[in-house]
Amino acid sequence: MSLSPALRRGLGLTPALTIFGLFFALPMAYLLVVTFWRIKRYRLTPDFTLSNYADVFGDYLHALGFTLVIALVIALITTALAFAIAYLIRFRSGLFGQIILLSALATLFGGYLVKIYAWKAMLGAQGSVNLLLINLGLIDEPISWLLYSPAAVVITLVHFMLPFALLPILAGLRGVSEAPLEAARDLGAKPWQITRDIVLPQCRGSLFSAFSLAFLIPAGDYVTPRLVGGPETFMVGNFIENLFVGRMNAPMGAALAFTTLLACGIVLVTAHWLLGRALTPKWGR
Amino acid sequence: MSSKDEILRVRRYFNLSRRDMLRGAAALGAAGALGFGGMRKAAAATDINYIGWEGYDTFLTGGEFDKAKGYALQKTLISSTDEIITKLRLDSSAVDVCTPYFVNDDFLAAEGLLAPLDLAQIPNFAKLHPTIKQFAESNMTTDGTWYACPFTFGSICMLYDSTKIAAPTSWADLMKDEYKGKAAITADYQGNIFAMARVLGIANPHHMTRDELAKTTDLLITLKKKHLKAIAPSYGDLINMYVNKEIVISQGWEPVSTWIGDGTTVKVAYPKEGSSGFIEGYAIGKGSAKSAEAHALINNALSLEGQIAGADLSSIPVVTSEAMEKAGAANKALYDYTDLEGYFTRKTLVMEMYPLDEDGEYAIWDDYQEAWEKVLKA
Repeated sequence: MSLSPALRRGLGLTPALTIFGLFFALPMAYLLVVTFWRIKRYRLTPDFTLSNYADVFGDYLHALGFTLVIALVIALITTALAFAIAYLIRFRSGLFGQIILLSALATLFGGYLVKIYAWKAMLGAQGSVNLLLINLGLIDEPISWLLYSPAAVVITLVHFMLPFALLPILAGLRGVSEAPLEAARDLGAKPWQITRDIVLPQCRGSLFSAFSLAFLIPAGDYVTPRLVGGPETFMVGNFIENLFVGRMNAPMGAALAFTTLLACGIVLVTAHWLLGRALTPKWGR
Repeated sequence: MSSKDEILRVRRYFNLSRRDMLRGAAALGAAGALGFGGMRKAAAATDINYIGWEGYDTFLTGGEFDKAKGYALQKTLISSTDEIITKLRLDSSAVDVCTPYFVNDDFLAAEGLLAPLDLAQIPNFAKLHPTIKQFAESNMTTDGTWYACPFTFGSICMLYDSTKIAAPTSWADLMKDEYKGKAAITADYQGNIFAMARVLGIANPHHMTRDELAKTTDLLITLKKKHLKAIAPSYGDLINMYVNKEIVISQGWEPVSTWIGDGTTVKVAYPKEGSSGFIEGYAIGKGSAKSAEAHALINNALSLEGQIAGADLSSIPVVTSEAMEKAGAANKALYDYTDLEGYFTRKTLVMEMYPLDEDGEYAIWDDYQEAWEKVLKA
C-alpha cells in the first residue's frame, strides 16, 4: 500500500511534532492552566480566577516596562555592532575577516558567568576601566555608576549576546550577491547608499533573527541584573524567580511569565513590521 | 516516486554481515562487562541527597565519615532557604538531609514535609550545649518531638571596614549621610525586615501588624533608594565589594569577616537593636528511604570531628560543649562560647515563625515576602 505524499510528509514531521508537543507545548499548556489557579497556605489549588493577571498588571507593570526598555536597548546596540562586525568580515577585511570571526566566536567559550564576573572586575571602583581613565587623566575619582547600575547590565549583556547576533547576520551577508553591488557602484552609488538600498534589505531576515535573539535572552535574564545591576536594576525575571522559588506562588509567577511572553511577542511583531517598512528593497517598490 | 529525469542518490549507511554482527556482539559484551563492572563499583556508594547551604555539609562528613561508611553526598546547594521548602513540596522523600531556616521547622513538620528525628539514632545529641538546645527547642520541636538537629548558629549582624569607619552601633547607621553609596545589604529579606523593624522600635519583627510592616517596608525602600550601593546576591559578592573598597558598612554574617583573607580589616558589630539570631539544624525529608544513613550523618555532625571540621572550614560556630572547648583560637575569638546566654538575649534575638493564617490585623508570611518584593520594585 503506497502512502499519499501528504501523509508521508505528515509522518515525516511526527518526530519533530512529538518532541515539540511533549517538551514545549504540553508544559506551556500546563503552565497556562496554572495561571488561573490559586495558592492556599502555600499549596497549589485548582480554580479559575483572573486575579493573578490582575495582580500582575497592578504590581509588576513597572518592572515589565523597565525590562522591555533595557532589553530593547541591548538588542539595538547588539544588532548594530554585530552588523558592523559582520559587514567588516564580509566586505572589507579579506582573509583577516576569518580572524575577526574566530575572535568573536572565541568569546563563546568563556561561559556566561565568567563574562559577568569579568565585567564586574573591570567596571568596579578598582577595576581596569576606572584605573585606565584615571591614568589617562580623564577622571579624578572612579566613576561609581559603571558597576551596580543599568549601564553595567547593558554592557555585560551586549558583550554576551554579540556572537549570537553576529552569526545570523554574517550568514545573511554571505548570501548578498556581488552583482547588484558592482552594478550600483558602476552607476555611481556611494557606499552608504549601497548599504542602505541593497545590503540591508537583502539581510532583513537575518537582522530580525539577530535582534530577536538579542532581545529575548536579556528580557528573560535574571542573573546579570542580580550580579552587576544596582539596587534599582531588578528585571522581571528576578520577580518570576522569586514568585516561583521564594514566595512559592506558581500561579502568579506563571501569570507574570505569560504576560512577559506576550509583551515580548508584541515587541517582536512591531520590530518585524518596522524592519519591513524601513528595509523594503528599493527596486521592489 | 522518481521520474526518469530525476537523479536518484542512494547512500548505503552500513553493511552488516554475519561476521560484523558477531564482532559487534563481542565488543558490546566486553564493553558491557567493563561498564557494568564500573557501575557496580559506583553503585556500591550510597547516594544521600543533601539540600542546603554550601559549607554546611562539612559537618556531616567531618573526619571523612562519608568515605568510611560508603556514602556519597549528592549536594543541591541553595541561594535561599525558601528553595528547600520548594524541594520538600515537590517530593520530600527525595530529600535525605536538608538545612531549612529554623523558624520554618514547625511549619514544615505540620505540613508533613519533615520526618521526626529518632534521637536514639543520634547519641551525640546529648552533647549539645544546653543553651543551644534551649533556644532551638521552640522552633525545632513539635509536641516534644525534634524535627531538626542543631549543628551551628549565628546572626545577621553588621559588618564594617575598621580602617575607614568606627564600629557602628545601630542599624540606622546604614543610613548615615557619610556612608551614602558606600553601604550594602544582602538579599536576606528576613534579616533586612528584622533590622529596619527594630530601628522603628518594633519588639517582635516576626509578629508585626500590617501597619508596622508597611512602615518597615517604607524605611527599607528609603535605605535602598538613598543609601545603598548594592543588594549583594551572595556573601561572596559582599566580600568583593569590601575588597574593591566599594563599601564601608553592610549587613552581614559573622564568618564573612574572616573570609576576606589575611590582614582583614572587616569586623563584626552587634547593633543596639539586636541582630536576627538563628540556630541552624539538619532535618530529614518525610518518606526518605535513607533515614538510617541520614541519622548517622547527623550524628557525625555533632561528633567532635564533625563539629571541628565545619568550624575550621567556614569559621562558623560549634554547638556541642566538647567542640566549644576544642575549637581553635580564631573561632573562639569570633564567638564567645563563655556567654552564649548573652549572645542569644543581648546581641541577638531568636525569632519564631511568621503568622501563617489571616486574622486581619497581623501580617502573614506571604506579606513579608511581598513587602520585600515591594522594596526590590521601588
